[in-house]
Amino acid sequence: MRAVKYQNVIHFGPPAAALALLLAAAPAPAPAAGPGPDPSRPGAIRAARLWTGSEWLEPGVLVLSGGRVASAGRDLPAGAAGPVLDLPGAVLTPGWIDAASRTGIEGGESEESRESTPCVRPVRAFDPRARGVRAALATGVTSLLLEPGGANVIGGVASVVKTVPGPGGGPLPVREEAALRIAFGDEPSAGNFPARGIPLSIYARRPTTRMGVLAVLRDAWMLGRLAGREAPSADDAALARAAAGEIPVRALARNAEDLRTVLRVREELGIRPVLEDVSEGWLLPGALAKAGLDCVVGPAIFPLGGRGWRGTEPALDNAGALHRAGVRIALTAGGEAAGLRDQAALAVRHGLPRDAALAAVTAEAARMSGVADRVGALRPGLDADAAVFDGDPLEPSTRVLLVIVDGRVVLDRRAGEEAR
Amino acid sequence: MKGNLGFAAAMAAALLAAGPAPAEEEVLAVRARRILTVSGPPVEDGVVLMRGGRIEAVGKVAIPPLARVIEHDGWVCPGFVEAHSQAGLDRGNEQQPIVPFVSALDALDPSAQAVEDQLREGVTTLHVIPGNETQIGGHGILVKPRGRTVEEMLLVRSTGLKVSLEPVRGTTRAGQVAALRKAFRDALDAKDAADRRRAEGAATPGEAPDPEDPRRRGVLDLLEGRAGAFVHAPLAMDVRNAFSLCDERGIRARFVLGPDAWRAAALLRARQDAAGPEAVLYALDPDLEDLDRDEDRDEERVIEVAGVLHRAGVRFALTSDEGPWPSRYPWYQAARAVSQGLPREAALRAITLDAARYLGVADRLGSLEKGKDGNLLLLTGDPLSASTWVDRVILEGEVVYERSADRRLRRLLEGERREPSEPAGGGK
Repeated sequence: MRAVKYQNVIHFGPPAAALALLLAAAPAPAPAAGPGPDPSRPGAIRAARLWTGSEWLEPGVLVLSGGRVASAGRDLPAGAAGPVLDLPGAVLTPGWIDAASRTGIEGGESEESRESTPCVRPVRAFDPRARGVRAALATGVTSLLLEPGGANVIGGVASVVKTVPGPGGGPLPVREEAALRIAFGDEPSAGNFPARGIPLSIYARRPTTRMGVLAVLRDAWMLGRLAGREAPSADDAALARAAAGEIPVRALARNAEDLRTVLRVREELGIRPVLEDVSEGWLLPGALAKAGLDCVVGPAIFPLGGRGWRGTEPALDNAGALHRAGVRIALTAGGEAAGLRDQAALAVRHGLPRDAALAAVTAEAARMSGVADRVGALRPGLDADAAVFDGDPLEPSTRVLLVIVDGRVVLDRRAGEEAR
Repeated sequence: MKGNLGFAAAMAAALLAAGPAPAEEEVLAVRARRILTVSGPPVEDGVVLMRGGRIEAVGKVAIPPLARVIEHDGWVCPGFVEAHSQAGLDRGNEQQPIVPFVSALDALDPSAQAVEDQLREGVTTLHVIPGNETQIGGHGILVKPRGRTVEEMLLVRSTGLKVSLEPVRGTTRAGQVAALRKAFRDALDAKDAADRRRAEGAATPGEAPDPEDPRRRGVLDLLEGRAGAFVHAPLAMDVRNAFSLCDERGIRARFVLGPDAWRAAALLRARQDAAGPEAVLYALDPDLEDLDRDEDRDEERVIEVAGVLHRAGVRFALTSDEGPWPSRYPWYQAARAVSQGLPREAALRAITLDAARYLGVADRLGSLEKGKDGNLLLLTGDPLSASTWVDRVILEGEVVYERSADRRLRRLLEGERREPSEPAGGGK
């Protein structure tokens, strides 16, 4: 059929397939490309604009070496090893990061046999070749903070992973112990067994109320403190480390009441959590700014029937309101990370400044995930993770041209370009 | 393929009954930085002149002395035409699969939030038609998203009947097609029987199926050319069935395609070529991506449907949905199509002029040309940019929406406090 020849194709094949596509379809990448150098490992990329994670370089040249960023500047330094990709008109950013994702967790997001499962690690159930992960990669998302779902008071340990498979086909972690994830609000108490009646299972979960959630949390923190170094179990060990401040805490807090609860108990528990979702943050941006709590802001979706995401009071410019109040924000697609670009574009539409939105999916997302020393910016020494767009990355009309992870081209969609 | 021809003519005849009231001869001129006419090249620093609700001139024209002038420091484009929508209906479909006697006319709620939201996003013409979970689903209507009653909103009382090849619950694909063939056959048989009885002078009501029975009447309208069809063909294989089903009976049809349609690109193109150089026969489902799976190699490819169809030379209208996601916005759907390789002009056309062609109303709607309805959007910039807002909507020469006075938009963006606000001093 005629269409087959012309289709826009995103190949999700193994690395060899991606390379084959690059060789077959891409125009000769650069004059410097001789027969020797590996075209899937460019030595430098020249673009019209380059976002380092904190500022714009125009034009921008990213120099890569050994899977790391060698430099990011305006001019091409002499002696870059490997082919130079010249992409006039293109915009280059660090690989994007969804700072609170559950994309690619196979077989359920929350371990619901108990309400507190501190040693559970979703990275153990993460399939880097899952459809959602590949779709995320195709939009320029190269890292995820992978966390358990919100059905448990203490859900487990979140990890930062790349959106490509590791050498053995398994996950490629950036930081395995990125945070202990806790949840406030009615999600951990919804659907649990009531006080009366016969439980249908031996797994009788507490709690059933908002105050019960807090009780479980206090309990866990007390156990963690008591356990200390001699923790008798993996659960207690994870709690002990979080209670001692050795691993950061992530807290799901959607509505204003949850946020106030966090503000109240953070001193009591001695935690300074990164807040997630924060749908009703716009109701108390000043208090959040004053407390200096970082927020991974969930998606602003159009409220149907007057209500917002999970029954919260909606404000489409939630991210902008928090930003203006001085709260530092990252953005999450709140589920499938492939939606991150749309969420960033909508946040800008609704009032978030463009550069704040770009920082929120790169440098700020990395900082809040505890991996700013590895990803989220194009600084010498950091992982060479980058996305190249054919225009403004915050416009839905813009196409992803290249995605690069650890210095290697893992997605090349320039072939579809000639039809424009 | 004679069926394709009468479509526009029938719709245009229907539309004449409605349209702007010519009694009011008010002259309105919009002067803008950039005018996207869609039918022709863009005009820089030009004027759209409207008289009595219709466009009188577009370009660098002199403004009559008594005209009301709107100076707009931004872009202007035609109002968006939503080619296929269930906005404002309580439910998409009846539970019964064959209901040619129902109409969106009786269910559209003019005060529905969905209708108001359409105007805010720049939709000035809305095709409301029963959904795809049906066999013969009922009549669609063409409306403008403004008015207190359906009659005030109405442009076309019946655009045609929804026919779907997606199997309803409990049916197979083959069963669905068979059920449609049977419905057509039954209606014709009933008519033949009645004709025979009438000829024999022995017409006794109630003795045999009455062709005037509304349950058959709609089907007969379809078969005898009084009504067109909007045929939902979700899979590429349905496209072939849809074509033969319509051609067997000479049904005038437009098609609503699913993301799988790219596999039938050649077939779609051939029918379009036979229908004429400007025919737009297809509307695309809002989901613009398809997964093509290669079982042998365990590989999947994402097919960008709008890009693939465009390269195959297939013209289409883009549609949006009514969910909470950005695919609810026509501009977003067009922008996405651009990311798939559609040129910007073609993408804008797919939500304006090509959507009007699809609906058979391109003589009156879809572009900024002399004689067409004065439906235009005053935008802050490029209509396909996420940062662009609709400043004003002009519908039939009248300003019907102003962003500066849109209190609901303000509520949507900033939120509405239902509890006391943060105490003073709560800030940093």
